[in-house]
Amino acid sequence: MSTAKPAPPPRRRRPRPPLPTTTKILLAALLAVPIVVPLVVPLYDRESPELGGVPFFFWFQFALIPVAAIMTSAAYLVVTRHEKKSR
Amino acid sequence: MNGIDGVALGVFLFFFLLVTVLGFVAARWHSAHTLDNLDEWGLGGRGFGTFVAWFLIGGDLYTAYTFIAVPAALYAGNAIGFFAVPYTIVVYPIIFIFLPRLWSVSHRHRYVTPADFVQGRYGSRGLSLAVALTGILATLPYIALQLVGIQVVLEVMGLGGGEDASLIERDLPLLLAFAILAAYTYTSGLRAPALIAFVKDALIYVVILVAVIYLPIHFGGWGEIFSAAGDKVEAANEAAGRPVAGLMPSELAHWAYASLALGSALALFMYPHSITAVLSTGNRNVIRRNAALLPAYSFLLGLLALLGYVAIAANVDVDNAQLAIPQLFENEFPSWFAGVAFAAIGIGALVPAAIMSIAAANLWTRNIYKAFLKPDATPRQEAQQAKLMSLVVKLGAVFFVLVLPGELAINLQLLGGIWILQTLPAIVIGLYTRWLHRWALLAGWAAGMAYGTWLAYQQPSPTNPDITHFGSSLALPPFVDDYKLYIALIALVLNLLVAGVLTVGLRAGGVDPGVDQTRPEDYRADAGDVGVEEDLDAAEVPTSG
Repeated sequence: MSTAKPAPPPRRRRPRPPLPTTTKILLAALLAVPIVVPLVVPLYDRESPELGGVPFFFWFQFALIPVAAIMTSAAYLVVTRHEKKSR
Repeated sequence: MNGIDGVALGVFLFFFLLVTVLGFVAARWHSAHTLDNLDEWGLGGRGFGTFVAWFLIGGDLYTAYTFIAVPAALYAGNAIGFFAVPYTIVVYPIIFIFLPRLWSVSHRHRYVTPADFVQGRYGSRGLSLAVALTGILATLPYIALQLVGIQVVLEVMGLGGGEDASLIERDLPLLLAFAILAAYTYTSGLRAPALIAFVKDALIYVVILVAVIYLPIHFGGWGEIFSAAGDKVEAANEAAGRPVAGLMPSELAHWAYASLALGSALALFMYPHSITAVLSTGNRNVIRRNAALLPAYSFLLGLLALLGYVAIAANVDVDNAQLAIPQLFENEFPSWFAGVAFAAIGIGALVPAAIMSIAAANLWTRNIYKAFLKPDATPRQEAQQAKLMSLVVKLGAVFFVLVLPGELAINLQLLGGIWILQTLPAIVIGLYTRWLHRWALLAGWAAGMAYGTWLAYQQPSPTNPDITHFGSSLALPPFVDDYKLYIALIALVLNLLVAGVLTVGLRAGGVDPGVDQTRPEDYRADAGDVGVEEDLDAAEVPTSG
């Protein structure tokens, strides 16, 4: 498959080193929230308190979605900031 | 069903024509000088940015079948179906962790499929073949189910319905739709679904937002809707004399709910079509950004799921729960808007069906055709082979849906989820460590496949006594007699145990672990990085050795 391979991109950067342990721990903490909380079903499998007629079970899981997005965005900022610094 | 709804059909056809034109035009979108290689045809040029990738991955993962089946589960009183929401919450932080590594190593070595990576990492054609075959097997019924999604909307529009219609009469619209899909996938490759995904998602967002704002107001608020759904569930339980339905999972179902969410989340990005979408992105941060942006679709899916309860409050009365949502739109909205909704579902089937057939074609071409049948195939021959295969795969899906009994596609889709998760050790663990031995991984895969299939075969349906096999994706794990778990996860545990134990034995016995073409830096590489070594190009061609 070497003949029609697209031209390699301009080579400018060196390969980056692995993330330092402290950064890894911070990332794990940020990402653990959206991974673990939705899996602890007894935490939210209940009817009350209702919100606008919607049982807790449903609106709590909806509420988790923006939380997950915020945590993942924070993790993104941590990683990209580190990668910029180490370049 | 009643007669044909002309207005709805007209609107549906308009959007269908629109995406057909887009599908063919897509060949020229950001186009390379040629589409005659897999990087271009099969991965859309490997250059999609955050915006395109968001639509493409969203269009890929949230399929028409999901849009039909999830609210159908709630409509039928099966609250566990709402696990789709935690599943799509959990999946993005998980992929944030490992997919950038897969992207990097695939970019560095020009891997097109997950089986390419396994071949490069473990130097094992057997293991790579196992991963490729699992991917193709799991994808075929998934494509077939997209056809079911189209069938459902055609039926509600009054087309193709009726028990007495002949085979041709009943299925002609469906065949036409799929033939057109096949044609533009053939010419444009991954660019076609990428472009059509914009239309699909725009339609879906408009339809769902209108529905979840208008319908609750119309039916007296969510409180009324939930109490109507509660009444139906109680009536069903009284009629059966035992709890067969619920608005929320019972306490016994907590483990089932969580294990379905986790197992499905882990399995999702083992599916070849998800990996195809990921590898089509231009740099590794595109995936990370999308992990933060894609939850917007989870919100949409959750709202859509609740429409299952809205359908109950709206007194939608259908025997086949899958018709509940299309029927709800047909009953409650003017014809033209129902047509928009049906177009959204129909196009929602086309996008993933295209990507899935491309992904299956890539697997066939790279890991079976080139690896075993024609090792010296040129990139042009590879692309040609993949294009042909994308047609064959779609024909296979049509055969599935039209000729074989309807439950078979659903059973196989259930099995597909179990099977595809068994490739996780080779792919995901392989991204981090080379410790597991290639033969141990192969044995673990075989054990997980066999055990998972056997467990699924043994499950009767909890609600329908006529169904004695493949009735549920849940089973009692060994040594447990009250909490059922998702079969895929149970099988994965066995898979990992076998792989771990055998690795210790094989390593102690000094069995050849195979050659690893990758280096630690490859897993952190980004677009534009310096090559690890100048002669890398020679090493990166995954030869058939």
